[in-house]
Amino acid sequence: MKALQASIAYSFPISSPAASPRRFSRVIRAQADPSDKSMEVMRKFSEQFCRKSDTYFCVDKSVTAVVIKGLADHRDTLGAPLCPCRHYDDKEAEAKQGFWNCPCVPMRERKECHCMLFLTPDNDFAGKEQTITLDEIREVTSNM
Amino acid sequence: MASAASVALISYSDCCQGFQQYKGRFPIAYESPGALLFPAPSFLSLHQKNHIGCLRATRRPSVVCAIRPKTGTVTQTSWDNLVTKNESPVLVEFYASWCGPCQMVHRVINEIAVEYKGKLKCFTLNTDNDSAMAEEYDIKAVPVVLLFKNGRKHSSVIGTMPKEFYVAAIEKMLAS
Ligand code: SF4
Repeated sequence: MKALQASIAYSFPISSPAASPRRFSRVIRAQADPSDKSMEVMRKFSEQFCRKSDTYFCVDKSVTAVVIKGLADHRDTLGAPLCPCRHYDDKEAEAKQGFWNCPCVPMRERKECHCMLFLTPDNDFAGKEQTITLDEIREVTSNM
Repeated sequence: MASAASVALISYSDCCQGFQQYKGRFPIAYESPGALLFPAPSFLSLHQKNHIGCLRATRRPSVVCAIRPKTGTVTQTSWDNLVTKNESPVLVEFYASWCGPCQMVHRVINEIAVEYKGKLKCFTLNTDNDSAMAEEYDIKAVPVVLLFKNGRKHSSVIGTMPKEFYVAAIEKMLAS
């Protein structure tokens, strides 16, 4: 569906001629990309926490990238990196409460990350990497 | 190797349209026990190279054809018509915009939609846009896949599961 939206937006290039590709990508997605600051904060946090908890990123790095973007988005909009893989009745209240702020309680207590951001080595989806660059994130999510 | 078979099932024209709609978006092959292993059959790779819409994909070795999205979208407004009043069994995939694993499940559901064409209708619902439905079905962690038969919820699969798991749940519902 996202692909479809993209093609619709492509036929109405409403961005000004001076708009950078980044700006244009916002128009396509109809959903603002998280700020660079938050992206970098959450990327760094993910790398560090991965090492600290002896976990690995998913073998499919686009999963990692999307989740990091989601955390960054919540950091921008809610002030806290609320887990992007849940549905909340009230996001603000949830972010304040803190249970699902990343790293969430199940992750800290039992190394359970249903977002598949931090995977224990025995997980079928665990890759071998604990690092991800901003470029990688951009590349794998550029067509979302 | 169930998924290898499913790739072969997609007709040539389906594949073409998939390429066009996806405009270069590609799934990435990941390896897990059987379920999501997605070997690239050679006819697909050849086809990719000939297709303008898919030029990007040829840059990556492990990439295969993006199957045309076979799932429809359902919202609160269309829920009754598409789900509860549907004579066909229905699968609804609840997802959130920034949920990485949801995208993996979505690819699996797309395959299933192709394989079960005529037997099962597949829809997706974005819980960020449609809180009401998410709350009605008590959706907490996403992805969640709900199966409906005769307008009633038959079963649910919570989390990211291998394809066989979804197939087994669907078979069970169809046989019931
Ligand atoms: S499940 Fe927990 S650890 Fe994993 S991304 Fe969500 S909040 Fe972070």
